[in-house]
Amino acid sequence: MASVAICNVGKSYGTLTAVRDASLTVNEGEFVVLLGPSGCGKTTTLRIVAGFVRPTQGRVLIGGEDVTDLAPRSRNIGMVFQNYALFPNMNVAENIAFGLRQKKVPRAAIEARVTELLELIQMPGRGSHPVMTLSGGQQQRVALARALAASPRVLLMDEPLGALDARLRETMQLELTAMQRRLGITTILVTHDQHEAMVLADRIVVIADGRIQQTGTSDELYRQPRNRFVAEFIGANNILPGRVGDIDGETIKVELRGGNALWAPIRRAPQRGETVDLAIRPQHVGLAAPGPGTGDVLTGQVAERRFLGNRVNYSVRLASDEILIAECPGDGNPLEPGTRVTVTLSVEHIHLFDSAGRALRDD
Amino acid sequence: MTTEAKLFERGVHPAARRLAARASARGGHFGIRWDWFLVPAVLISLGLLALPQGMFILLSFHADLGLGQVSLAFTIDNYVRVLTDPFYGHAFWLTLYLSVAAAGIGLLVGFPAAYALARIGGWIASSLISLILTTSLVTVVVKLMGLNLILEPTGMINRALLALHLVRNPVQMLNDQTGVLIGLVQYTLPMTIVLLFGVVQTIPVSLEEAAATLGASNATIYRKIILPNSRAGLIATGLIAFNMSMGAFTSAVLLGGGRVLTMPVLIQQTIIQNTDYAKGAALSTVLVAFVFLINLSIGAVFAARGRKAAPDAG
Amino acid sequence: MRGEPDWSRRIASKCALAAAMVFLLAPFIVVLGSSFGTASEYRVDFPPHALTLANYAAISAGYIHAASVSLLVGSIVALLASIVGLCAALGLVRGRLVGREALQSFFRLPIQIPFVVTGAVFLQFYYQFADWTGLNLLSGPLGLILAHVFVAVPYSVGAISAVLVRFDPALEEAAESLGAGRWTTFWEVTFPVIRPGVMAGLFYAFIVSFGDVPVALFLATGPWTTLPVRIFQDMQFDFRPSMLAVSALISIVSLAVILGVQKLAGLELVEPRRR
Repeated sequence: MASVAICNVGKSYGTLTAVRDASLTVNEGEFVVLLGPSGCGKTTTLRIVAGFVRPTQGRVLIGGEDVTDLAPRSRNIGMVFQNYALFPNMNVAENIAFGLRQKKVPRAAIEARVTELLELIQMPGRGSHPVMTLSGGQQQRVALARALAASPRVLLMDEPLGALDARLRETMQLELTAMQRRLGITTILVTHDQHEAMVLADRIVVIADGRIQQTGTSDELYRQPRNRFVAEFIGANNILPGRVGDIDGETIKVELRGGNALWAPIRRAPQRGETVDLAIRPQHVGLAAPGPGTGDVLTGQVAERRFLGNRVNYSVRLASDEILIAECPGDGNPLEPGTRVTVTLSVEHIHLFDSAGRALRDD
Repeated sequence: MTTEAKLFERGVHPAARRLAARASARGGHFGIRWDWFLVPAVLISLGLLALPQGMFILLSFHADLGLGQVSLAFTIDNYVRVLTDPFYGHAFWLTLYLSVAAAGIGLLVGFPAAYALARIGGWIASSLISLILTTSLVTVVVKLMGLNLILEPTGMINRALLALHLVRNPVQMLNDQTGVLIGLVQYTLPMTIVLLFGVVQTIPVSLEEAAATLGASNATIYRKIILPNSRAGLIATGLIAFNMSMGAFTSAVLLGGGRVLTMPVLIQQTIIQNTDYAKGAALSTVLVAFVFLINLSIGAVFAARGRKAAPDAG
Repeated sequence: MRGEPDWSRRIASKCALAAAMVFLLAPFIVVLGSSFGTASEYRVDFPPHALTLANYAAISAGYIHAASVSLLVGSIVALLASIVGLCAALGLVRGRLVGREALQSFFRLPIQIPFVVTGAVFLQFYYQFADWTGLNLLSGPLGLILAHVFVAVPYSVGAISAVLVRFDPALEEAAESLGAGRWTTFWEVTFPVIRPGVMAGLFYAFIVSFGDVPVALFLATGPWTTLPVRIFQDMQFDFRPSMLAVSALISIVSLAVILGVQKLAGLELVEPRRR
């Protein structure tokens, strides 16, 4: 097993920049997920690590060794492709054995290893099955077994579960996690599905516009988004545009539309009058009957109500005509649409982002 | 710069950086420059095309001295002769007329046939298409032998006509333009059907069904939906059939009895029988040039019409 | 279930289809049928009154020799044309050259020139070539082979390009990620997948060479006369009943080969040849 590091890696195709100044270290045995919307550069980054794409800047290191100039076949990696790329002219066993044959492993050892892997992917005895008639889930497993057969030091996966239906995907996610933990293989997986990222990853790397937005555990990303993109991409979030009012040491007064204002803590001081975005998650929005109260209050009217089993979601229209989504526990009295409410925002869960999208709670 | 980057920055040797920059141009698929594969292919094809063809065209600019000898002087005499002599003019118009007729008949019969095949679909259509293709892949002489047997005075058609008292004497279909025309249609019909089959397949049945639910009659559906959508394909296919017919040799000889002098037949006679190589070369060049021009102009006309129609459709 | 639009439209086109099929198949049926009947130089018996194999027995050694010439030439042409076609297809589909469209048209050029002209062109070229180098390419099969390769390459390029374009590059990347070198990847992964196209190309090249009359008429003479040319000449000057038998045999064998290749190459053959 080996660590993977990319240092200031960039890739441009003429005037189009796919990856900008990406630096990342994946520790030995870690499961890192590259997460982002379509076209953000996450697949390009993965293929740079694999060696199918030459970075225009930067270096790639595997196990501390600079592999930037090495061809993919010399990097000792295992790769699972989006559409599996199983060799249609070979059966399951031959597909799995392919990598071992390239290393000139003796036949007896190959057979033993193939059997071992068939057990691992829970398809024992299916060696002579032709690959093209397998189901999607089975093909995916064979692709995985093929990648792992020659004991690579890094496993790379490009949206491997994308073509599976929801239930199968969930099953595979759990199996994948278990397998990775058992084998302890350094893994980098690319996906656009944040739920998948949260299930699989030790650490998530959020990528947008070719740039790494933030790296961290799912918890860190959720609770401490470093910029507006991450705040909106991970989990649901309400965004209210505002302006910086008074600044008082470590708190500022945020003037929202409709005349409301509240005080929120910051680390980095912005300019007075600068625009800021206020982000608050639905479960940190409190609704109460209208009445006098202290703290940061906004008023509004319930526009819609959605029952989601153990929670209730409300769309609240504020006096400024903006819509805020509030999530409340399902038990308790549900509010009727049209009810006037007081909206309380939990101050310690407020995130502020400046005009460049960076969080004001960080350095 | 992050700490990791700082650490490894020291390890990046300027030479490695230069190497990376140069190799950045490496293509995908193993970084093989697949373009290189074109070199032998183009060299061989170009050699087989340019050299013989070039010399041939050059040959046409010399005078025949009989017995295959050619003068050394440069002259456009052959072209003048070919383009002005009514004998060649007749051959030319004959070829043109037969080719247009063959292409037309091919489209007239082939399009409905292709439509039927496309709508039948499934394995039946595939089998029939295979059968049709087979008829075109078998050596043409076999087909012509069969046609000969069918069309000759003592052949099936004439015997049937006589037996039914529809004619008093056997109809002369061989050694005649009719026979050649039939042969040309035999030659081009399979390709026509196969190509038009592909064209009709691009028109979804749902279009016809929608029109039917809106009350359109058959003729209307045919005229307003199927034909307009197939227009480009029809023109392209017609052109291909035309090209094939303009160059058709074997049918013209075997069914025309050497008396129907189309350009291809004339070319072969001029070169082999008369050994007038230069004149034959001139004839060939004129034929090829003409076919090429027709293709170009029809292509241009319909491209222009297509462009004019596009704004409406947009 | 196909929708049921008005049946008259369908009927008309089905009639056209039937007519076309009859028209196209009639010659073969006649040839096949009369090959089993009695025939002389002057009269052919169709439908045959009595079935006999006399015509088959009368097939001369000359025809058999011509058939072997055609087979030999055809096989060599198929092989050479496929090699050239494979290189061209690889370069056209996977290359990055700017003028690829023009090159594609270039490779289609040979079949756009009438075969008669091609025959004449190569004939006079070989004469000149013999003057220059003393090598007479018309004395053996080589001259014909080269001319046929010229004409057959477009078919090979077309057939192979068709499969190559649909080839999934991820397959080769997967092989590379597993440690395979270029050669290994080509033989074990790429070639098996594009093999149907290669076979179709081989097949078309063979058929074009075997069935050609105009080019061979110019270039193949004496002992190297091909079978179609033999039949062609005999049809004009010297009709023999055994010709019926030979033609019938060609038809049957062709049909068998075509069906066989279709089994191997799938429905590639149903795809129209690109002009």
